[in-house]
Amino acid sequence: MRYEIIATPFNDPEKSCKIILDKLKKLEFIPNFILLFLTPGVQKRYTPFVRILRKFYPATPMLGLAVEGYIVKNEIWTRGLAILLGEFEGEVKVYYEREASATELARKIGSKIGRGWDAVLLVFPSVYIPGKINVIKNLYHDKINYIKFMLSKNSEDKKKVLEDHSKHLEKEGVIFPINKVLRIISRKIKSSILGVNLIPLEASFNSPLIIANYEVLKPGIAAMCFKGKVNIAFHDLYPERGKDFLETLSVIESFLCRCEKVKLLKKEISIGLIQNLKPSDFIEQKRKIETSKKVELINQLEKGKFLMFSPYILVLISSTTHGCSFLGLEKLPLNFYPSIFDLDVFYDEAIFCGEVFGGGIKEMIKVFDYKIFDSALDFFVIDCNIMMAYGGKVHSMINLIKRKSGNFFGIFSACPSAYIPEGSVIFKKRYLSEIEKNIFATGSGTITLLELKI
Amino acid sequence: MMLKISQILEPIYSDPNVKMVALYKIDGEPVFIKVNAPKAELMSTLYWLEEQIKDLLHYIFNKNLDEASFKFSNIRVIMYPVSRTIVLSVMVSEDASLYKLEIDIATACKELEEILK
Repeated sequence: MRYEIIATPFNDPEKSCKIILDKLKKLEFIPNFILLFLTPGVQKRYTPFVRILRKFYPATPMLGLAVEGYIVKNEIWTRGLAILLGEFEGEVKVYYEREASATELARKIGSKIGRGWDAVLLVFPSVYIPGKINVIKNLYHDKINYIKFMLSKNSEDKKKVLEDHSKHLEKEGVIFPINKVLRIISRKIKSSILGVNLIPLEASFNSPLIIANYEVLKPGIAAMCFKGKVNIAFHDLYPERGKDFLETLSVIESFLCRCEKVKLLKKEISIGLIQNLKPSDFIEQKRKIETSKKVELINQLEKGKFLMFSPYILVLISSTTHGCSFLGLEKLPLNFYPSIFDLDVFYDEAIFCGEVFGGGIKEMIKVFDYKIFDSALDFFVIDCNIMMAYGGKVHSMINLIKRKSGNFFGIFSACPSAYIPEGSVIFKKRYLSEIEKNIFATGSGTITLLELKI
Repeated sequence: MMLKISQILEPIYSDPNVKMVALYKIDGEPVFIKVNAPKAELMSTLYWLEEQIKDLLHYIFNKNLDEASFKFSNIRVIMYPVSRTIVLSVMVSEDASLYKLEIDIATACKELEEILK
């Protein structure tokens, strides 16, 4: 396989376009796949880049997505863009679906992809911020449902309201529950999936951006499928999960601090109560942080400055595998707390605590230990929360990776997920993030690897 | 050399939240300055910086201070050692995403280190 990475750290589209054009003119092969990664500084001005790529390679399978930063050679940049053009020795195709509920999109794209692929790079927004009018509509919907919730006499009726609310969020394409999307698609395709489930760190309206075959999905699911010599691996920072609820609980208490057991009233992707309190009241009471007002939310979204990151988490324990997912608790002006995971697979008891990055950068790059090819392009997706946790120190990662990989290219994105079928070497560890059989998803500290044999 | 320095620092100083990027020698003399804001706006901070720079550089180079950061009302000044004799100083507005800027500055420092060896 031949490949070329074009990276330009300039947010000015004119300057970047010049660099891209120069490099494309010198390209010595015709790529059979293109991946375009846009950092926040260029996400609103993506058109010229797409136009150039389309002009050069109109029929090449292409995927474009929003990222927080990228790692190429000795450099890490959080501005500008990077393009990976590859001539993979095998088959590559891009499929996409849009304009339907998350569940429906997952079903449709799963059927479209079908079986026979060796690896799938799946891109979808776990949280999609629609336009201003739809955000306001959703805020009112939350309010109306909350009145119904308060009027409900028992927990069964309350759960019914939460179910309706969840269905609404999915239908509106606001939340794509990671484990549910992976579950539906993996059942249909049965091949390894690297899930890039986007959540912008600093959200704005109509974000995050996904482009498939030069079409913008608002929102949608896109998949780049590979048939040939490829390998997908997953790794997380955490110790192994326990065999039952109590064992996992003690594992969590061993590496997280100030753990507090809490009872949830939840259904599908909505949390109605935490310790019998409205989620926003619970966060305010516990951490003395004031929930932002609706007007503030709209203003910050307008400026693209609404922080989708929180140091406080709910640890949800899976009732099927006894693995865990970490759900960040942000100060949202909502009555129901939306979850990026399908909550029905978790126990009603959860743990409230602060987030940690145990083991740090060294632990993260252990994903390269799962490499199966001597010579390959190692494309990896790393949890962007690590940028907030380590700042400039993330540079130490480069030298560590160089010891394990000769050709690498990485992106910072929201905690990546994976579906890995039985037989993979990664199953020698009982991953804490395995929350459903073969499905790995959590809210922080994960890294995934897509190896493309050279 | 100046052209190369300017090219390396361009992604940083082209950020509208970055008010100034400067490279100082160990004796406090600037070797490269790019200012993105009206000088009057930065004048008081620049005077302060000039007065402090020698002491700060002493701490950075002799006491192994990794970096130094100062917050004024709406401006932050960050200083990173590039080599044994050069320090990079970046002045940013409070709207800047500091954790991201830190990562980009670290990349620029690595590149500067290569050419200033």
